[in-house]
Amino acid sequence: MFRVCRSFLQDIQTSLKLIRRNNKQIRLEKAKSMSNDPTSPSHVDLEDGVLYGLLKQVKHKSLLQESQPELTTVWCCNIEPKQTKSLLVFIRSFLIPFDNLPLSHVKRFNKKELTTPEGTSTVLQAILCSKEYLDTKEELQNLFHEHTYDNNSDLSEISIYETQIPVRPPPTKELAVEWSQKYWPLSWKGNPNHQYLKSVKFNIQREKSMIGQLLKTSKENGGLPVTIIARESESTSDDHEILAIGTDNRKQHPLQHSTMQAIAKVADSELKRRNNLAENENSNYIQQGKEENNYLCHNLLVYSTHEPCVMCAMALVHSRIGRIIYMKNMQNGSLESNYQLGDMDGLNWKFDIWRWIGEEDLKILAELDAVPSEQEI
Amino acid sequence: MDLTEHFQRVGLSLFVAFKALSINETPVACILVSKKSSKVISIGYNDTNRSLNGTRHAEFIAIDYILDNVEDTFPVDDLILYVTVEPCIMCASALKQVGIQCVVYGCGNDRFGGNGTVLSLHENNYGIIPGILRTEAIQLLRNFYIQENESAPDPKIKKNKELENKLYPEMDYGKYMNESEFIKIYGLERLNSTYINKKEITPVIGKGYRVSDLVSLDDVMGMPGLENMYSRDKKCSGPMTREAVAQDLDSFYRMFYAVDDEGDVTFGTHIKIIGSENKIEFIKEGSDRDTNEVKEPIENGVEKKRRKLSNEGHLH
Ligand SMILES: [Zn+2]
Ligand SMILES: [Zn+2]
Repeated sequence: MFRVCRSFLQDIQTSLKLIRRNNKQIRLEKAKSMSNDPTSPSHVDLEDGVLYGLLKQVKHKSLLQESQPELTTVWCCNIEPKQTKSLLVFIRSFLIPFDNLPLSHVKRFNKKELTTPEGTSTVLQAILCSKEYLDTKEELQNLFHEHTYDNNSDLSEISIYETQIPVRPPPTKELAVEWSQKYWPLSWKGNPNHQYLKSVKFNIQREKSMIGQLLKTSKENGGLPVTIIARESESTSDDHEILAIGTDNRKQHPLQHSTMQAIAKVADSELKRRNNLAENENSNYIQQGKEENNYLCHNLLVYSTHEPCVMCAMALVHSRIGRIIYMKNMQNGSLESNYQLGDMDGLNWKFDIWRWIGEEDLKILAELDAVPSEQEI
Repeated sequence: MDLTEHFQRVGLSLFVAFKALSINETPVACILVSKKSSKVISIGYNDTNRSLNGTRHAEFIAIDYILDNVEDTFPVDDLILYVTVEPCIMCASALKQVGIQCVVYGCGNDRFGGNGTVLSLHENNYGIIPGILRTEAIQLLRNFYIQENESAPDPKIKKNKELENKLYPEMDYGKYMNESEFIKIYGLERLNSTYINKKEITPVIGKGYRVSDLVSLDDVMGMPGLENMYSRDKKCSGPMTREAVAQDLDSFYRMFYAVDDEGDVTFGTHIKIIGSENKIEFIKEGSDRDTNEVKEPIENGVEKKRRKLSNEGHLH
């Protein structure tokens, strides 16, 4: 992730979002010992990653066996134990509030025994902040000079150096031990994906209703694939706010798959809205920034009868959607069956992927379904 | 192996991309050429800003134009795509689905490339010929970043000696093909210079080139659909007249450095315009500067930092 952000310098804002997003989307291996977690809400099946018996979490297969952690560079220093308190005060006041580095799985201090001819002494290594936040050692040194000079335990002379730590929490207890020895002491707080599964929120009535909408639209269109783009509605209504319904139109155009159609509809209606706005109050119309222009689907919810093809899944990445729930896996699908787009490292966007496993709904879809299994949807 | 035709066609795409800059779109563009007739069938340019649709990439615009104006159905099995930047994963998949025969492109697409950089969606589907007018495609993207970054304090030309030889990140052809595939496409003579020593490809082996040699006014005027771009360009050139295009072509030529016989970009060269015929001459650094001297591609600190960190950008 560090590398991703570095090369994405031109929009720091976006980079920061990305960091937060990646932190949020912790996805890791299932820990067998945790499957009978008493703190788990009744609708959560930690073992299989299933919620309400209806939604199956789809994760990147390579991440399920993450044995090599993705690393990020941080600034470190060595202090004597007696300096601990003033260093902590410094870190809490001048670094933590501004640094976006997720450190909940990383211990701040590392105790080291140094053996010299005179005997052994204890040195504390401490993580200061990410290199992402402060680019150079000088900036950090200046901060120390500015804020600790009148303090009894002088911190202005400590030596600062860089080290690498894992970006994400270790998926298993065993890896937590291994990585702690190899990189930096990490804390084990249980399987992070389990934490995620327990905390992720669905309004399952609304999700059921959206699946119903997919099936209804597909039925009206002779069993063709359907994609819906919606916004989480703030009200207490039983439904999400539907922004666009796309149906497969490849009879007319080979690339007008349901997902492409839905994305285009969102853009078209916004374009119309803005044009009307411009006509009605022409002087007040202000050109929107890039964020508002290119990313209309930013964090929106997507529903699809079928697993989208490479083109469509990448279109969802480009559109920066927040989450997709789809029903049927396809031979040439690219969320779970191939590539795992939407959850692929290196692209500049990831979204949450869930597969609907409600048996009755799938049965209805199978009866409707008019597309061959190797078709790109 | 003479690659002049490929260069001329990517050159046309490059002009379309240049034109996209003036209508506030990312400078990535393409043309579709029919193998049988050798004619340009359609052009495409990034249209994400106007359409508010982040998927309206050049390739889609070019394909849609064909279905709207030329053919009733796809796949049309004799189309070659010439595009300034490697198609992204989405477009590379779309190209496969409409049955494109071959994709000739300029620079790689570091973040999203679907034809060799991130994924290789062309494999078993269509051929690729990367690296044609590669540095020029990067140059246009850089100009776009600068344009976007108008806050850059002083957009004046600054020479940066230290960067001169490394100004464009190298292309590693090994990432896109093995040696024998390379030889088949570019010829054995280029193996050493380009595949191994990372020199730029030139149209004719051992001969340098300038963009002005490749793209002619008549060829530009002959591209279908270009008038749509001109009608969108309200502030710069206005409607598409021969004069307006000639004028654009002139500024277009001046955006790029020449590439010499060895395949090195001649960063030390600046451009001088002679007389009223807009004849262009390239002058080596250190010789007399003329009053008609034209701005070289802009170089500033923001750009330098960004280039250090990323390659061609993430925009496509
Ligand atoms: Zn599709
Ligand atoms: Zn694309």
